[in-house]
Amino acid sequence: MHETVATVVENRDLGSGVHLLRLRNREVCAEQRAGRFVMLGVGETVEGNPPAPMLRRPFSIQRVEGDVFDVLYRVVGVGTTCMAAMKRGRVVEVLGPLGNAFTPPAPGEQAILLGGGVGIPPMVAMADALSANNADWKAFLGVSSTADAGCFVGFDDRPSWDSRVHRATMDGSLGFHGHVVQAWLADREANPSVTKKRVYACGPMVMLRAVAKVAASLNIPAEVSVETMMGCGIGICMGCVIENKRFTEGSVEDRSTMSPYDRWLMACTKGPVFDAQGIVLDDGGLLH
Amino acid sequence: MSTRWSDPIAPEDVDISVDVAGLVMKNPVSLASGTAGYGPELSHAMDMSTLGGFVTKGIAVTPWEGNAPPRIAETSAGMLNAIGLQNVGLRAFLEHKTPYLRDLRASGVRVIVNVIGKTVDEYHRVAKGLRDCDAIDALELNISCPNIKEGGIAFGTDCVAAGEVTAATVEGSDKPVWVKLSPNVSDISSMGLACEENGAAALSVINTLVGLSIDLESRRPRLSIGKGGLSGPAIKPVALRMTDEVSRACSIPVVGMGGIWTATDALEFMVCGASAVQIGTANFVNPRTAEQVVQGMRQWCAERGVAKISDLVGTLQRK
Ligand SMILES: Cc1cc2nc3c(=O)[nH]c(=O)nc-3n(C[C@H](O)[C@H](O)[C@H](O)COP(=O)(O)OP(=O)(O)OC[C@H]3O[C@@H](n4cnc5c(N)ncnc54)[C@H](O)[C@@H]3O)c2cc1C
Ligand SMILES: Cc1cc2nc3c(=O)[nH]c(=O)nc-3n(C[C@H](O)[C@H](O)[C@H](O)COP(=O)(O)O)c2cc1C
Repeated sequence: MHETVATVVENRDLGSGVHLLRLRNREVCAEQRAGRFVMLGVGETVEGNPPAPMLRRPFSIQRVEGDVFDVLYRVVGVGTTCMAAMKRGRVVEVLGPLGNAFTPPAPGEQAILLGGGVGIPPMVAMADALSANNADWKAFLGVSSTADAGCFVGFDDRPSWDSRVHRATMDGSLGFHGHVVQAWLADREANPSVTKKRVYACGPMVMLRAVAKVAASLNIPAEVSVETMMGCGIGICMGCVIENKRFTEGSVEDRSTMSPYDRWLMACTKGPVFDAQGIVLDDGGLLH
Repeated sequence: MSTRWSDPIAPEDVDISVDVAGLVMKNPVSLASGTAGYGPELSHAMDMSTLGGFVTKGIAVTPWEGNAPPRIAETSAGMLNAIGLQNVGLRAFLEHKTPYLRDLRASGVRVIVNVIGKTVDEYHRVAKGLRDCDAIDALELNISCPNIKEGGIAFGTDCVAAGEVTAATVEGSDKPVWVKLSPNVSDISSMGLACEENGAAALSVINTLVGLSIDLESRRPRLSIGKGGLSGPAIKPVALRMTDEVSRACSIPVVGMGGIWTATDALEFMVCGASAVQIGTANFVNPRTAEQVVQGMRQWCAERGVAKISDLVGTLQRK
């Protein structure tokens, strides 16, 4: 982990409030592993908006190329509004890479990557890592409509992957009509295979809940990356917690090893990647 | 000290050590409770040995769960938190957290354990449990906790309860006991006096201010439990005013905090009567804040020929 600065190489508007921010910093790139994230200083107040926030904001690292790393973000509030105004050459405070990472699939396993909206970035990171290792993978990516297709940019930039990539929209305006889990299940039906699978997912909580449920019923191991409200990213504010399912629903044996302290897990240091069956997929009503 | 400064001196010639009720700290800056974990968390981001002191997350006699999320919400120049004092409890603290703290202490950093409880007896038991612990230098009582025997009213908002909890902890402990005052009172000086009379060695001023942040669209509080504690730059003027009041009313040292971001902020607290300072929320934004504040304080003193930083304490010019 580094407490450092990075230079904006590009901040590309992909439409519908989705942007691709490309940042240069060698140290951060060197420590990236798929699933990790950075805390970014968001820059200056944009006229006509509330003052720039004090706390940094968490974003997944989507891709590393040389000493440049990419972040894909959607403008949802004051901090991301500031970010959208960042120009090439601007210096940004960066803390990272932070958090754990996805567990690589076992030899012979096929990785199923499920990404929804701005949850797609960690799946780009996974696809890059898996491809570099010649591992077998398939991706199912979903957005609400074609207007949000900018979220696919990390996959669009790799046309050679197209046969493995399945795009879906909720309104059917592009690709499969439905959500990512439906797209994945439809593909399973159309192309049955006996290869062992391992699921990796990131997206809204409703999507992660569906992933966990389906994976459990199919007896497939699944890891999810959660996006809770984070203050610090390094385990000192204890704000970003998610509920430990082993604590609430675990066996007597499980529970005997735990104390009340173990009920809430910090997503920044214990995560953001968790076993989908190990946590309660509820963000306490994040307002989005 | 007069209002005029002397000729500049070399930064290394400035004595930045301070004495808080007999506890000598190599510089005035500590990390505040609940904003720096148990120590190891921040050690990856900063050089911990540059600190004057380190205050742990609050420790209760048994582990506490803390509150459901959302636990934090950013507000203008500050943040609200309702972490709910999630902590590992005394036993796990002694077993798993003290080894790191012992090393930290050996590197010359003063280690202060923040203590929490739901009853006077719980504070007393933590104090007793920490007797003879060689990893720590002092205790700091967080009396902003609800007193369950008194219908959940915070110990820190009632002089009698604050005095009782102080006396019980002092009685149980072999270490100096600092008491961290709640700003959610009309007269913070009388709270400080109650603690002083009952054996407190120093007073930490201030804990967070109770606040509320809501989402207009859903007309719901942003935090799961509704209210939360406000910290950060937004509270600095309140904290300075209270540091000034308490330090004038009480004769024991005051440790100031609330929104410290820079060396200037920290020095302002000292001028208003703080013998030392703590940094909280700023750690979340820049984990190296404390390191930079220490350097900046030394530099500032050097440029103005202040040979001993503690000479600044309580030198606020009135008029
Ligand atoms: C580990 C991690 C990785 C993330 N990766 C990405 C990413 O790659 N791309 C991306 O666009 N976003 C990502 N997020 C979410 C992103 O951090 C938030 O969207 C951002 O912090 C919002 O900042 P803001 O100041 O614009 O919003 P605010 O003004 O703070 O809030 C505006 C709205 O956004 C909601 N919001 C705030 N924080 C979050 C959050 N953490 N998760 C969900 N909703 C939130 C609030 O409830 C509110 O309604 C990630 C979050 C985490 C924890
Ligand atoms: C997330 C968070 C957790 C805190 N936890 C504790 C705690 O456990 N015990 C305590 O005495 N104070 C706690 N505090 C209060 C701080 O130690 C400090 O008194 C307060 O935040 C004001 O300083 P600041 O503005 O520099 O943060 C906490 C503050 C924050 C922001």
